Amino acid sequence: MNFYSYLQLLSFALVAYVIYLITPKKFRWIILLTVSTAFYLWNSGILTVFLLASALCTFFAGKVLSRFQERFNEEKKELAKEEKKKLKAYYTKQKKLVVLIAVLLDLGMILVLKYTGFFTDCLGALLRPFGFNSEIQPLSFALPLGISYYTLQSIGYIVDTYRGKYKAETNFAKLTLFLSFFPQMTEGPIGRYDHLMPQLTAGHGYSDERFIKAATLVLWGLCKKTVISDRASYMASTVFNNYYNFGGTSVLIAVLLYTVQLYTDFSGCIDIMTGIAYLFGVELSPNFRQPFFSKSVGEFWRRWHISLGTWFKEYVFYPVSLSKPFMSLSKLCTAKMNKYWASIVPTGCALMVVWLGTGFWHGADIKYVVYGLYYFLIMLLGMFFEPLFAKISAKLKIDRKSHICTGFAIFRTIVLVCIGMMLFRANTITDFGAMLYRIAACQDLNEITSGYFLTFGTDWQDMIVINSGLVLMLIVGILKEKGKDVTGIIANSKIYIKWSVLMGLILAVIILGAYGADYKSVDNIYAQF
Amino acid sequence: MKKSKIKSYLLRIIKLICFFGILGVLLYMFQCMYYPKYNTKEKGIYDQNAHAFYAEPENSLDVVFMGNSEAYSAFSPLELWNRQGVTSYVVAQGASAICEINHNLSELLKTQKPKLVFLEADVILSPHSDKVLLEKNTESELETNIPLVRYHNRWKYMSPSEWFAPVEYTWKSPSKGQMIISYSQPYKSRELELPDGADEKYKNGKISPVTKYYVEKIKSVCDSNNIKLAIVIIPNTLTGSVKNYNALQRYADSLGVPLLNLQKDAQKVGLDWTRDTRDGGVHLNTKGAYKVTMYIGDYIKNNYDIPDRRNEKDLAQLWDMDFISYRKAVGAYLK
Repeated sequence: MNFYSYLQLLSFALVAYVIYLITPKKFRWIILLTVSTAFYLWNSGILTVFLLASALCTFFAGKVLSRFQERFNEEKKELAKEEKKKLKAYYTKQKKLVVLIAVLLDLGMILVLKYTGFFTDCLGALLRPFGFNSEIQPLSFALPLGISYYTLQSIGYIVDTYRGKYKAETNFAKLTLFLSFFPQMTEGPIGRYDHLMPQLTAGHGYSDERFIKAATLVLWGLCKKTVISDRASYMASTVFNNYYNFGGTSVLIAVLLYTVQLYTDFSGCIDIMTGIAYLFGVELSPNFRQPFFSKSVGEFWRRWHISLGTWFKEYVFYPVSLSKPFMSLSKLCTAKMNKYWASIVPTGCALMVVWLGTGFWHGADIKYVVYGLYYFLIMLLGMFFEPLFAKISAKLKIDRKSHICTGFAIFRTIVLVCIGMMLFRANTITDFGAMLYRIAACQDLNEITSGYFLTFGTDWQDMIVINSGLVLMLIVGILKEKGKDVTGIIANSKIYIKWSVLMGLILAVIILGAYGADYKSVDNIYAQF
Repeated sequence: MKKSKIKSYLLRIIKLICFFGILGVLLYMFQCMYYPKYNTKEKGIYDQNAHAFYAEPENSLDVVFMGNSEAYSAFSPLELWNRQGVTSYVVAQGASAICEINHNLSELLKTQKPKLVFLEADVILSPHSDKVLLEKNTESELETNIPLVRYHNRWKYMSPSEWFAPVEYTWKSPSKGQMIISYSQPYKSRELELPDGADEKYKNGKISPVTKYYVEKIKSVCDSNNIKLAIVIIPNTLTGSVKNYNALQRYADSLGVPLLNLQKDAQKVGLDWTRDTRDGGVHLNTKGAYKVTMYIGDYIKNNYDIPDRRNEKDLAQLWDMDFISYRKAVGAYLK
């Protein structure tokens, strides 16, 4: 989405909001469903059938699971303890079967639409040694908007219903609204039914404070996306696509710029969507919490794309860790190994499944699988060496909580994350290796002093704008880290402060935004996943 | 409704008006600062060739050719002048959205009173979907109606002395809006044939409602200013499709606008696809433009009452000088 698409989206959201406000409270969720459907149809056209299919599958799965639970509750009343156990086992089996079918149907859609190209590609590569050179052509399909997000929401809902966390939704339209609420469709966050549904159906009224908070959030997000991200993308894409023409310094600057681009693109879009949702009284799950203040890669992933991390923790890590084979493995490790290894081996195995899944979720490419494994390896090594680091620190009497150690830990995390970003953006794994080698082997400071790196689309004025924006983001980040509600402070401040902030943000977006004839339109990076 | 509630609503409305009032003033101030004060590319004007008509003497243009890159590649106003004394101009931008043509026509009418407008058909026959066309035209509407959006990035290049300088659009296009292309890249696969849509996506034979809306707006501007409108199809091997032309003919008939199909008359025009195109048949070069202009010149002579202005001494002197410079630049290539 570029500057103009966001303007269209905001105009759409404002019109929807006016309609929402003039509709009686009881029916406001219907307006949300209608505008979400209109938004989806406009963006995905005929592909909306996949969202509908997913909604139908999720709804009926929930209903059947609920029915089984009710039946069990009815039937168990007159049974003895042993028979109750048997009945429970029977219904658990039935429910598991329903979950399996529904999850397979949901996953089936995304696997076919998103990953067929990858699978056919792999099949072609496997069969090539046997002489099948041109028979298997990679297949690719158009992707419905937000399929990677609503599929995870749908699976989360089915699993939670199975676990009896809440009762299944009885109204198909409401469930469809949960899966298709339009601010979440572009880049998430991945919502949870028990968190979202009460807010979606509450029918909120107008409040000045909410409006100002929402507007500030939207404009702040627009600034991040159009002023910083789209500006940084220019040099980043030039260098990543032609790294062999650049020295190590330019490659390093491009990697840093790409990290800035990705963060401001993703978090900017999330801010915009969170602001729009907040206008309708819906507080979306937070997706970022100052990730570049993290002291470890593990912490980084608890602060970056939080909704995805939480989803994988809830619906992959725990089920895998508590599954029979893993429990057996855990028991085996406890019996055969010391305490240290007995904790590392099973957790490591479960983590590997999570990170393979996270990598694969990002895209149908072996590069993303390696990306997931990269983070898995870092976390595994972290777990592996942690006792050693603790021992060394104790021996050398180093306070690991001191400012210097904290600063070093943050710096180390940023370096590791930047390498991850490079792997994420590089066109192939070979390119990633070559770029890494360039950074390590040939640092030519002349590229900086001569201004050579400023001749590839991002000039010195752009650099000033990017860096000023980053400083502003840092200040806001520090305030947030200290627990201050920045948008709340603005909304409750004196009118001249409020207006100055809003007008300043509007002017920054219009005047400093990297859009129009001088810049290429840049799609949201996470909208492709 | 309670008095206090009414008061609170009124206060909100006043606040809203004040907020947008101040914002509007600020935006207008920046717009005045950033708006290009000279109509040259170096000074920031968007597509200088299409905006050079501002420098032409008032009411000096009788015929205007409008469209996109097809238009500025296919018409030669100075050849038309040399041949029959008709003063014409090409107002065209590459990959132009049709709403820009409507905007340019309104701008042109501030200083000129043309008698005939040719609208090149490529802007009507777009391969894009209605959705894409709507988005593209909305963007262009925004950029033309709020120039700050188009020129916002000029802060990077302009000096403070330009901020509040008076607007002086004095740069004249030496070719009157035509793009001079003095090289050929032949169309090899079907030389001299009437192509039927080299590209599948151009074959749909559908005119988008978005495009129709703007064509009808252009028509209504022409009608209210007593200007004759004609649609002209420039030979093109990429978008040429019989299905499209039939749809265009039906549409032109429904509007009561004549359609001049040079694709159909390519042989009468004398086009040679081995020499008269600059990019394998997508756009004409100066040789092709010469032939098309001669053909259109005949068409104008036979169908419209456009005066020969060679007897207007001052105007003729200016145009003759421009023609001599033009011929100096392209004469050798045209031979």
